[in-house]
Amino acid sequence: MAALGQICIVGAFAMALYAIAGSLAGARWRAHELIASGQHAAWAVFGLITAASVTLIVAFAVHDFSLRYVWEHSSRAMSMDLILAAFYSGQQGSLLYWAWTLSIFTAIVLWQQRKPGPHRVFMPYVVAVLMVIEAFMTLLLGFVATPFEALPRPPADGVGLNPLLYDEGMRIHPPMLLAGLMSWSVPFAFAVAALATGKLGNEWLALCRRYAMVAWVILGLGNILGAWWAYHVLGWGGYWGWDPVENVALMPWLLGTAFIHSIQMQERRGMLKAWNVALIMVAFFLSIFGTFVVRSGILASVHAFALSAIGPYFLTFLGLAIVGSLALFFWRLPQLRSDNQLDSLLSRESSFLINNLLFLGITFAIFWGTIYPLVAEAVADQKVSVGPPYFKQVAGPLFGALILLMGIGPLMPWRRASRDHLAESFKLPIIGTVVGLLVLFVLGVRDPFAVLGFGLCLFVAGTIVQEFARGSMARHRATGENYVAALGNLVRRNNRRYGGYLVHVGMLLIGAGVIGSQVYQQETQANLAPGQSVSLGSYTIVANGIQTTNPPGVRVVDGLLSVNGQDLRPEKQFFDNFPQQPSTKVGLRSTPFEDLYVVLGGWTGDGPTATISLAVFINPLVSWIWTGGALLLLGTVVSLWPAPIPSRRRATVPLGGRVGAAA
Amino acid sequence: MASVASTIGAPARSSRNLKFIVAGAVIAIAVAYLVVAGLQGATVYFLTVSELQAKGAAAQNQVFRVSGNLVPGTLAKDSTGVGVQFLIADPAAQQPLSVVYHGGQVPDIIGDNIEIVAEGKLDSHGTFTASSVLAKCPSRLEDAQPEEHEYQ
Repeated sequence: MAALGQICIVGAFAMALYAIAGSLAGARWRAHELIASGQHAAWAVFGLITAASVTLIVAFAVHDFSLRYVWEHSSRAMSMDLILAAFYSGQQGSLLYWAWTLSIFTAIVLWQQRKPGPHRVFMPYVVAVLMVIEAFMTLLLGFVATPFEALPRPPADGVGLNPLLYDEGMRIHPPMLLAGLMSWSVPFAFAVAALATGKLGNEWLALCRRYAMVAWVILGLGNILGAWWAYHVLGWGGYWGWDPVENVALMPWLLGTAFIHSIQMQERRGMLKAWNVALIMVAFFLSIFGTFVVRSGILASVHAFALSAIGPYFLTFLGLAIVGSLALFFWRLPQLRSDNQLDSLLSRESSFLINNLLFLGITFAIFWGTIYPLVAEAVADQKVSVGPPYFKQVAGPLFGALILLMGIGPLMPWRRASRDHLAESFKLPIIGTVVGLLVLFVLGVRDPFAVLGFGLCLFVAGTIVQEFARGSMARHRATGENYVAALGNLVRRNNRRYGGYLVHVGMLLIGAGVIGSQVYQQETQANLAPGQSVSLGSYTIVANGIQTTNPPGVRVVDGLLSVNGQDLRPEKQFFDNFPQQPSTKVGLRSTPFEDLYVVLGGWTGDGPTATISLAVFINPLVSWIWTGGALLLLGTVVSLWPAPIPSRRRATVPLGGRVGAAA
Repeated sequence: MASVASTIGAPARSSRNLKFIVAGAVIAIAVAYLVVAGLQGATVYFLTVSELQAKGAAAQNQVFRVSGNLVPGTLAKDSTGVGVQFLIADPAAQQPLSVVYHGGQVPDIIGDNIEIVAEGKLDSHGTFTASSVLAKCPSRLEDAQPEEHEYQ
C-alpha cells in the first residue's frame, strides 16, 4: 500500500515536469503535438494523484497501521465517516489534499477550455504554471513529507483522530480553507499566461474572472466556517481571534475581493491593467504564504503545529515564484498602460480605486501585524506579541470606510457624476438611514460605534433595496410584467450585477453581526450548586449538577442546566486516546437577535449534586454572520450563473461615452 | 492606445492627477497612522518567567505576556471558585511565578507541565494577575514511535 502510493506521487512529479517542458516547448516552437502532449500529461498527473489519494483512503478504511500516517491519525474505533477528516488532519495528508484539489481544478480548467478559440493561446502557459506548482507539491510529498512512510512493524491499533475533528464544523473547515488557498493558483496561472503571450487586453481577464470568483467564494466560506467552528467549539465566546493562521487565510481573500472589483475597471475602461496583474499575483503569493504558515509552525500560535522540515522548501518556492513573476511583469510593463484616464473623483472608477486602496491598506496592516513578532525578534531580539486590539483598531475604521463605499460606488456613474444625479440617487437611502437610526436609538442603541456602524449598514441596505426596486419598476413599465416577474427577470438578465448586490447584502449582515456582537456582548461567570441560579439579560440559568456518560472511547460530561424553563447542556468530552485534550461543546440557544452561550468550565463532585462553574455570554447578532455567509455563496452562484446571451455580450463592451445608472 | 478623454470645462490633466495623488496619499497616511498607533497600543512584550523576574520591580504594573510550564500539583481553584491559580516556571527561573486568573475562560488542556502563556500584570506582592490564560496544545511529536506493547 505504501509503495503504491509513493510510486503514484513520484510518478506524478515526473509527469508534471514533463507537462511543463512539453507545454513550454510547444508554445515556443508552436508545436501543437507537444502542447497536446503536455495537456495529456496534466491529465495523467490528475490520475496519479487521485490514485495516491485513494490509496491513502483505502489504507484508512482497512486500518492499515503499517503506514505511519494512518497509525497517527486513526484507530480501530473510528467510524468510517471520519476517514476523510483523518486524511487531511495531519501535515502530509493536508499537503496531499492540496495537491489533489489542485490537480482536480487543473483538470476542470482543461476541460472547460478544451474548445478551439482565441483563449487556446493561453493554455500551454496555464498548464505550465499549474504544473510547476504541482511539481513543487509532489516533490514535497514524494521526498520530504510523505504520507506513505511505513512503520517497520505494524502496530495493533492507531493513536486515533484528533478530538477536534469530531465536530462537523471542524471537519469541513480545513478542506474548504485549503482548497480556497489552492484555488488562487488558477487565476494566477492565467495572469502569467497573459504576460507570457503578451495578450494583455481583456481576453485573459474574461477567462480569469470566473475562476477568481470561485476561489473567492471557497476561501471566504473557509474563513467563515473557521469562525463558526471557533465559536462553537473553542468556547471563549468569540469567533475570530486575529491569530496568525486566521490572518494569513484572510489576506489572500481581501486582495481577491479587490481584484474582483478592479477587474471591472479594465473591462469597461481599459484601466488598471498593470494593477490587476500585480494584484492577482500578490494574492497568489499570499495564498502560498498562508499554506506555508499554517503548515510549518513558524508563527507562534495556539495552533502550535510542529515546526517542520517543509518550511525552507515553501520559502524557496515562494521566493522563486516572486522573482519569476516580477521578471515577467517588468518585461511586459510597457504593454500594460491604461487606455483611459480617471476623469473625476466622483465617478465609479474613483470608487473602485479607493476600494482597492482600502483593501490593500487593510491587507498590509494585517500582514504587518502578523509578522511583526518575527521581525522584532530578528531585528531587535525582542519577543513581542501583537494582539487583537491592534487588528481591531486598524481594521475597524478601514472596513467602515469600505462599507460606506459599498453603498456609494454602485450608484456612481462611469466617468463623472453630476451633483443632481448624486442627490437623486442618495436621497432615499439617506432618509431611510436616519429613520432607521431613530428607531434603533429608541430601542436602546446608543453606543457611538454601534450607531456609526449600523448607520453605514442601513445606508448601504437602502441603496441596494433602491436598486432592486428601481430596476424592477423600470422593467415593469417597459415590459408590462408584474412586479415579481420583473424582479425575477431583472436578476436573471443582469445576474452579474444583482448577484453582486446579494453578496453585498451578505457582507452587510456579516458587518452588522460583527458590530452587534463586539459592542453589546454581555458576560458573566458563576459557581453554581444544584438549585442555584445566575441571571444575564433576560435569561435565568438554574444548575442541576452534571451527568457523565461513556460512549465508546470517550467520557462525556454534560452540565445539566435549565434556562427559563428549557434544558441546556454544555458539554466537555474526554477522549481515551487524548487525555490532554478535552473538547468543549458550547451550550447554545440561538434566537434571531442574540445567542445565549454557556460554557461548562469545571465542576466539583459528581452527578446531580455537583457544583458547576460556568462562563455565560450573550452574543447579539452572531447568527447574522452565518446567514451573511450563506448569502455570499448564493450571490456568487447567481453572479456566476451562465446568463441569457444578450447580457453576456453587454458587460464586456468597453465604454466610450456616458452611460446611465442602469448599465 | 492612450486616449485622453477631454470634455469642455474639465480641469487640466495635471490638476486632476493631483487630486488623485492627494486622495491616495490621504488613504496611505491614514493606514500608516492606524498601523503605528495600533502597534504602540497593542504590542505586548513576551517574556519567560526568568526574564520577567530579572526585570525586578520595573516589571510591575505593566502588561506583559509571560510563559512557563505549569508546576505539577499547583493547579487549584481561585478564591472565587470560578478561576484558577497556579505556579509556572522555566528551567532558568530561580523560583516559580504565582499566577492568578479570576476569569471564566480556563483552557481545557490546562494541567501539570503544560506550557502556559498568561497575559496580565505583576503586582507588588510578586503575584501575576492574569487577564487571560492560554495553554499551548502539546505539539504532536512527529518522531514519536509506537510503543512496544502496541505492536501485534
